[in-house]
Amino acid sequence: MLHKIRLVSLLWITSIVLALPSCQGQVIKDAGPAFYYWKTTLQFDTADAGLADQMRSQHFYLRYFDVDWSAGYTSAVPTGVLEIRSAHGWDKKNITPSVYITNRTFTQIKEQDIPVLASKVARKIAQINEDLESHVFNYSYYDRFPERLTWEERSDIIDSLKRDWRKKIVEIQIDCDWTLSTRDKYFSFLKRLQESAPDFAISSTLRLHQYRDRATMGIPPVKKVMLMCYNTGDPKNASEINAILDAKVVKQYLKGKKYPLEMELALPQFNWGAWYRAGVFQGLLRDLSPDTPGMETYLQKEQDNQYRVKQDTVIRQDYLREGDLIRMDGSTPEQMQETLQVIKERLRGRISGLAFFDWEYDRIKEDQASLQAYFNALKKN
Amino acid sequence: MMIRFTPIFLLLFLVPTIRTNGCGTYFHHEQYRIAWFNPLLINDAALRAFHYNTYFEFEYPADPEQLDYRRNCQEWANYLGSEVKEADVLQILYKIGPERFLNILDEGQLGVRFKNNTFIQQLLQPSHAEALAYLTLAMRAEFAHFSSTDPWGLEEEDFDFFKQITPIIQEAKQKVKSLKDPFLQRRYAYQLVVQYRYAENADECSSYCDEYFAWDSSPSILVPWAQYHKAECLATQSNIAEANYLLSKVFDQCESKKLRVFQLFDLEKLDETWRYAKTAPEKAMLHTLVALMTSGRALDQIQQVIQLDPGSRYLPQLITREINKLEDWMLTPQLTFFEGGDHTFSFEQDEDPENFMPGESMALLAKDIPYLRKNLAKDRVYLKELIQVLENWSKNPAAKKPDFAHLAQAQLYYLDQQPVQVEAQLNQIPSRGDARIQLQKQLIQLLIMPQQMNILSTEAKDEIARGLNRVKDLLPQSDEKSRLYPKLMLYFSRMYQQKNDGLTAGLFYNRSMTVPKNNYGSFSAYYQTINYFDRFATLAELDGLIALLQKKEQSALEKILLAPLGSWELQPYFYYGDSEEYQTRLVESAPSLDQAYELKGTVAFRQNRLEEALAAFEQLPDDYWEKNYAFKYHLNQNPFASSKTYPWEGESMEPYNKKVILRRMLELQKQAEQPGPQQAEACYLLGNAYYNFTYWGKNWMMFAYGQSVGELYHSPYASWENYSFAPNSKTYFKEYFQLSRATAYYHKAFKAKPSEDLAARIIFMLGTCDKYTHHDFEHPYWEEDETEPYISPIFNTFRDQFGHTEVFQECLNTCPELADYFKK
Repeated sequence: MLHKIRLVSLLWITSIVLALPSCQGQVIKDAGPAFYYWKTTLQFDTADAGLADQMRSQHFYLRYFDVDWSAGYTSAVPTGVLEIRSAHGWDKKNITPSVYITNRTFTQIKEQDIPVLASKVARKIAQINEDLESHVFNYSYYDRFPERLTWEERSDIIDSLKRDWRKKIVEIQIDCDWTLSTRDKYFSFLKRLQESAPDFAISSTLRLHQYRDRATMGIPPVKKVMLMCYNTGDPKNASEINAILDAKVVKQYLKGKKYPLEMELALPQFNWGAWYRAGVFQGLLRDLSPDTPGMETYLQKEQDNQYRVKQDTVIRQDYLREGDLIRMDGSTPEQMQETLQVIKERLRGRISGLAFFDWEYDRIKEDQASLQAYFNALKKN
Repeated sequence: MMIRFTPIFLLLFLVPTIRTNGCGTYFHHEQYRIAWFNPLLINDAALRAFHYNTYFEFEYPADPEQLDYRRNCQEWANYLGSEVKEADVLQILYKIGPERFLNILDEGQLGVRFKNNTFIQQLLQPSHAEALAYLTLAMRAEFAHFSSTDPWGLEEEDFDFFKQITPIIQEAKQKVKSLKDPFLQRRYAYQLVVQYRYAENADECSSYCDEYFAWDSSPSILVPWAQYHKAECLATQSNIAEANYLLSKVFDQCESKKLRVFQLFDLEKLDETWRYAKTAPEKAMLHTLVALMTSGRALDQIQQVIQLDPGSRYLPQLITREINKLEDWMLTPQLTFFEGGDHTFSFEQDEDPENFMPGESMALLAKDIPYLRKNLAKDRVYLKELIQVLENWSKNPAAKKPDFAHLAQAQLYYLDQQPVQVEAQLNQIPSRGDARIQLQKQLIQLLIMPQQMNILSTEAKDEIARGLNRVKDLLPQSDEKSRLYPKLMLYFSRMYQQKNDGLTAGLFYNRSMTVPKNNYGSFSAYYQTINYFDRFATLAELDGLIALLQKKEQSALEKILLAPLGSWELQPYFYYGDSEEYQTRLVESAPSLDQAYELKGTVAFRQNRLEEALAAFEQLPDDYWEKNYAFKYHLNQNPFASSKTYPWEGESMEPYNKKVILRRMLELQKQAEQPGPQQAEACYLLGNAYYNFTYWGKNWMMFAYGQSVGELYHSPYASWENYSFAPNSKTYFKEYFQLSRATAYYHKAFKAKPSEDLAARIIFMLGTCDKYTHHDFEHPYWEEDETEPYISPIFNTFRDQFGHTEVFQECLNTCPELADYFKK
């Protein structure tokens, strides 16, 4: 008997000890990193599904639509509504519907129209949820079941799966680069959206400046925020080191006490070439990275992430002149390592999830090992 | 120790608002691109969207003159009879919309509501019942396509597009079979082409198109329209090459689909497309589309078009695009990219790039300039090739626009700096006629003046004034005028810069304030009029400005340069509001006489010519600095402080007056030269004042008109957002950023045997100056400093020699940084 008591006590003490880390702060519970899927078309094929499984990525922040101000309708309207083509493996995924709202929407909208906007956003999300559900559990899903089952039996099972799947959509995320002048309307919108979508927890993205300057920018009235650790610089500025991710800049922003809300973290997984002629910004060359095939025919590395155009070259609609400078912005391994170090130092125990922005099969496939390592590094943190 | 690194200032008093794009201010290249050769010379509205443009946005109407619609209306009018007016058809087909038409039809009110409409009245005749039936079907079809009224898509769950168009297709099919009237039969067939396309039935769409709308079957507008829908279908079937071919023909044969063709045409499938083009004009059309889509050199394509179809409607467009490209490549960087540095720098000569750059710029930009020169040399070669091609083409009888060809050649010779050839071409254009041609002729004549004459001469200035007035009078009152004229001002500013006439250059420059340049453009109404002179003017030029502003008999050019800016010169980049007050208000571009005196005094002060500075300031009323600009915020304390305080502890001073400060300085300077007990104190007070007149001090507006935290880092590039003191920041680096004048007076004070307390203060101030002298301008100010901050060794002397004094103890109490250092 005594032995049994001792054993129970030991287990009890052990459980307390094991529980201690979580008492100290947040931990990342997911088995793999979450991803943003930020295209206007959802085409998630078997290869995508396989890669997501390999990475144990169960959670996707799926951009449903944007909201922008329309001068024609004199109201806020949805733009770039998600077209769903395929959603392989999404029956097992946790999905957070995400909506980007332009700041000018809140500049233009009248306070009294905010409840209507919130209601429309909630209804539109519900509509796309249904659309997504019908794609996830489409006709081919029925073929997965043994032939001995009747169509009705399969249908019953699928209905039950659908119910379970719907239950996993627990959150709606709103993304907006709100400013001081739009803050009140944006916060009011978030509250109204929570009322219009009571079955979901509303979360909001948080820019680095909104994190640091919380005293002036305010704390959004939501359950959770996603701190976006990217777009650290102004791509138009030639003296930036890396406008997508500059760890030194991240460090400047990650100051202050613990943020008073549950916080997840988003890190970049995208690139562009910032293009300058004699220091004058000419534009962004999308998806250009040091690994872009063929780039060596017209670009020559000069230093770090800066490349010089070797010869006059037409790329899509752009005419690059000899001597133009291209700065390859993106999540380089060096910047990511340094950023992770900063995060470990400044946000230890304060992060409950990690997502990468955004899902692009080729890029993710190429960086799979690194992404996994970044995730593990923060998970252990 | 004083720690004073807060973001300090941006120039105040915002006057205009400026377009911003995301974070920071950003002007797209298109907004400052130099384009002297007017693409509107082509006078082909449907091609307007395809002018050279580095920022292709489909912001143009597809067919601005509605040529296709009018063609269609004319076909209806021809069919129904001569009494039907084209405008009446246009009203019904394209203005009232299907919903209204169908509502009125249902109410049986067509005849009443459109009693004066000849089209409706004809349709209501019993003999035209079938035509009305067709129109009704067409309206129903259109309604089915455009009836999505809820942009959120929340209220139309029951709306089924296919359900809507199925009966339309059925009815049209039946009519195509039964009708004998070829006009209406083809109309129904067209409906089938369109509806089958949207019903995603590509085979039926193509089949009806082939049967009723073969390319040579009819001159009807329905032919290219139907072929366009077929091309869309082919594209969905992955038959891109054939779709490309059809699209190129559609582009040529109608106007309203041109933009859509431009969007759909797939250059990647070009190689496979050639085999469909059998005739020379068809091949020429493909080359044309490729040339229109090429942002780089397209001369090879143009030569092909000339060879295949020398009379092509598109050749003037393609040639104009090439001229505009060359202007952009050759002129935009020189005229708009660079500010600061040596303002007389000649881009085309082999000068040290360092002279061209703002004071802060260093290695990175120095690398860019040789490339710009190299590209300019390449562009000159290309220019000569283009001249040759154009010369040959203009001799071809098929080239039907002689005036255009002469102007184009003249423009190219101007770029090639061959004024004699320019004149030879312009002389072949009549002096009267098309206003745009006359405008272009006058403009080129004006542009070549710097190549033809000594622009510093009185005669040349008079000639330039006449040329400017001619161009201004010919420019239409539109955005075109607002865009071109200020760029012309900038052009002449640069021309006078190169000739070392800073006064004329500055006055021209001020009239180009709406042209975005790669610099900090002051948004203060006060500063923007003196901005150029502040950075570049010599004292002699400022004397010239003062004399000019007082001159009674001004020359024609001086009148132009000194006139206020009209609202049209301030648009379109600066939005001043829609009210009549803003629209009609005038803005001074030249400095006022008071501003000129104030600036002269300040420039003289920078050069330490205190008496000259005071003489200029004496021309101004005592309250000038209180009432103008932001002076009062940055001159508002006694810069001398006292011998018992530090420079930042001076009491507030009113009025904020540069004269008072200078008089006191001159007084103190005399005392500072006289040995005696007052000498050390006088030197200390002067040191304090000079300290306060630097970037780090409190009265920095004695020296500069703006300040920004951005100045703490020597960015290799000029920044849009931050105030830049360039090139003064380089010229006066030691005085303004490294406190050389203050340091010299503190040293002098120390040598003059001050009391122990004052000596302690002097040493402390020398340490402080030394600290700022060691500011690391290569370290971005926004990054945390990983290294230990620089502590001046002078502070060791301060501790060792004055550690026992009250001054030292006071310092330890007020400066924890220093206290920590001493503890270590």
